[in-house]
Amino acid sequence: MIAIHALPRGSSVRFAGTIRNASRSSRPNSTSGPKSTSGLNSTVQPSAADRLRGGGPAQRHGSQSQTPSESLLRTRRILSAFFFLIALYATPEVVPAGDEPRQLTFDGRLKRDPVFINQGREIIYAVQHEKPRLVLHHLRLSDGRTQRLHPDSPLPEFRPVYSRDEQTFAYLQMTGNDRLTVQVRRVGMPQPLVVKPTAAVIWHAALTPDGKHLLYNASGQLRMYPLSGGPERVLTQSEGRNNWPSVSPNGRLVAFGSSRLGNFDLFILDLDQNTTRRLTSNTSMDARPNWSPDGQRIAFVSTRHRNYEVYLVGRDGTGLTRITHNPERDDYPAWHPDGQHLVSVSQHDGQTDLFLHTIPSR
Amino acid sequence: MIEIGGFRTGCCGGISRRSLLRASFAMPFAGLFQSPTLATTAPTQNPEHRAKSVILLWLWGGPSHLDTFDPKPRAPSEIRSPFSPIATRTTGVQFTELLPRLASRSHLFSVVRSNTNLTNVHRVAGSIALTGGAGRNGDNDYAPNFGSVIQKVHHTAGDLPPFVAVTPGQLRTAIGPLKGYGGGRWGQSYDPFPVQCDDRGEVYLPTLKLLAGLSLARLDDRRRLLRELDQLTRRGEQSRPEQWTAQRQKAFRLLTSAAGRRAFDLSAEPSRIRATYGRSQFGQSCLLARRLVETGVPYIQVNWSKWVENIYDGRTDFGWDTHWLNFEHLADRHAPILDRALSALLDDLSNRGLLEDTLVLAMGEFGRTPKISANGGRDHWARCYSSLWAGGGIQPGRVVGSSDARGYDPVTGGIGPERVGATLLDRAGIASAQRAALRILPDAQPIEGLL
Repeated sequence: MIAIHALPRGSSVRFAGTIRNASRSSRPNSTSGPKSTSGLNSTVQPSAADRLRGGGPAQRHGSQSQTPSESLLRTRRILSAFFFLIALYATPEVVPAGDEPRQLTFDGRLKRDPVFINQGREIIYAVQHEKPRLVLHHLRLSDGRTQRLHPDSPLPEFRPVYSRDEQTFAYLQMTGNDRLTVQVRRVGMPQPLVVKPTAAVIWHAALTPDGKHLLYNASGQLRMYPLSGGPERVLTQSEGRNNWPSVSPNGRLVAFGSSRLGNFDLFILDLDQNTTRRLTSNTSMDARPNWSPDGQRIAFVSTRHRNYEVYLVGRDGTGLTRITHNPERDDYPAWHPDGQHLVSVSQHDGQTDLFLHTIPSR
Repeated sequence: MIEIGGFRTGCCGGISRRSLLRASFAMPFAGLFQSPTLATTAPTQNPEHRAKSVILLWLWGGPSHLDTFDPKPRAPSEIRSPFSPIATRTTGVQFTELLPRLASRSHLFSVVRSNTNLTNVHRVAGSIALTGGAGRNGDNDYAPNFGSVIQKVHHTAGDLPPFVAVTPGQLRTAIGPLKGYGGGRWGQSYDPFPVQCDDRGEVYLPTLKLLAGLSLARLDDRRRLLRELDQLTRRGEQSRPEQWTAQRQKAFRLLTSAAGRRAFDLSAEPSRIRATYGRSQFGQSCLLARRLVETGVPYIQVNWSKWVENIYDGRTDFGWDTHWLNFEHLADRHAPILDRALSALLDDLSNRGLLEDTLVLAMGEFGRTPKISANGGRDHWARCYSSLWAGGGIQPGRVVGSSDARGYDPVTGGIGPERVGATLLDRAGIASAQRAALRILPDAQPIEGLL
């Protein structure tokens, strides 16, 4: 069983086949680091990873008897915390993010491209390695165990993507000097399908939810390639760069980043209507959009605060919400299937690990 | 412990987030309310001052100048970077948004925007950039590396080699090795002493790979160590007499010296400091360079990668040669690592009072084409590129030279590798007369604008 720390009251998250309702006793201490276990519900059990790190459920505070001054002091603290929370939640610009993120990996090595699988019980991601320098890892959330997905592969691998039913799995592989291929594996298919759709080096592959099409960036333009064969469809023909395609859960919309108007902003392409509209407008880079499971929101990365941070925006461009507030880099947001959490690759104290965020409801 | 020639050091832990918060929050806004005369208020350096050490950060493959230190936001879309320009702490100077930390520290360094090289070929341009000139008789007759020149003049650095290359391997491309990495026509005895440092800060000495099973604890038993090394030496000398002897002597001095062992042990560094450099191979290598400066090593070359290529097979170590995926790799990996590590190095040297005595130079062998290629990348461009200079008598907070509106050519007179070399050696105390005696760049003039 895995513990979900400090969930909002009444929320439920399914991990390892167990649904746990958590009630929040208090916000975590804002000065505590992401590894801190302070401020947790005392009924929450430590995860295997926490136990390995010497962590555990939070201690109950208070004592059997209190002096009047202690009682007064406690009351003042409660009132202060109450007014602080009122002030925090009343801030109109950005809805405060959820609780302190929960650290999922602890090796600190450079990472990228996490994706939840198996109903959110596991995560596949790419991580720095000795040789090859980039490998796919599999993280089991129930006990924090990680292992290489393809331990015998001598080639760098990254950007794992899955169809909605997880029957189709694709990832990028560096195969030579300026050569990349997409490896596509399907359940029941003994050998991977090696996709080289064009002569160009391709980047940031994505699958449609039905697993029938592969989207990617080739030479700055987006293309859609049918895995069953046939001509590929050119999705963009614009100035600048088009990158990071993400297909909506209904398969009809593609969110992507484009510098067609100068710098990178987010756009949405309607595959049926073949129309494109702008989603964000900012003088800084907005990148790596990722649709929420219900198709209503998009997580993305932006440097609008001079640092890579994770944000949410509604599909109509409203409801901008900053999720991370970290002086170091937060990147590669990926949704948990419950739509209430997402994982990021974040740097804390110079170390790069996966962190789980509880996100505010709209 | 030491395994096959490596110091296995501890990992980061227990780091103060507060200090990082302070530094990271304060710096980006530090320049917002500066007076327009900031450039003149940057700390000045005495041009007569000479650097005791030089750190060359070698960005192998050639970083794009338009996407880093010389953005051209008004250029046509087929040229301009998709990354927005941001203000630096130096009035009127912009970098791209990929380098926010360096932008907020521009008072610590100067940027040359009019570097030029003689060729667009990696191995040749790289050799020229590291030696100051082309080989007289082609590919096999290069002048010695700047570090080799300093090694010849300074002879020793106590127990440590005077020219250390912190490198993931011998610099090379898919075609072959880089010739200008070491002693050149002066011979192998002036080659750098190679040291490997990985992203966890574990240091390996390839020279000592024969010493399998040697532990750090056993190194404390000096007599036993020497006995074992003697046995290995006899075996080694039978196979590779000259090179083994030179490298062996360096390794002997290193391993039998407490100062030497201490310099390579990054676990002795406070975790707070290790964190600021970032847990990347380049970041930890920069930290190792600072420790080597503290122990008096006069020349340290930190190599970004072994291979020039940014996409390769299992040998990939993400060089700066971004024919493909220039923008993707810069945003995903290269720029964040460089921004963090170089900023931390400058802060660290400055905070310790070492920057005045240490010249820091970051550059590649050339820049990249202003026009974005059909492949969506940028190709080789030797006609104009940028370099970053700090410390050692360099006047900070300046931009020296400028490129045209599209980044194709310098408009202020190109600064070639010979002037880069003359400046570097001049700062290291090797003036023109001494260079003439060594037949190293006798006529080249240092870059006045930096001094």
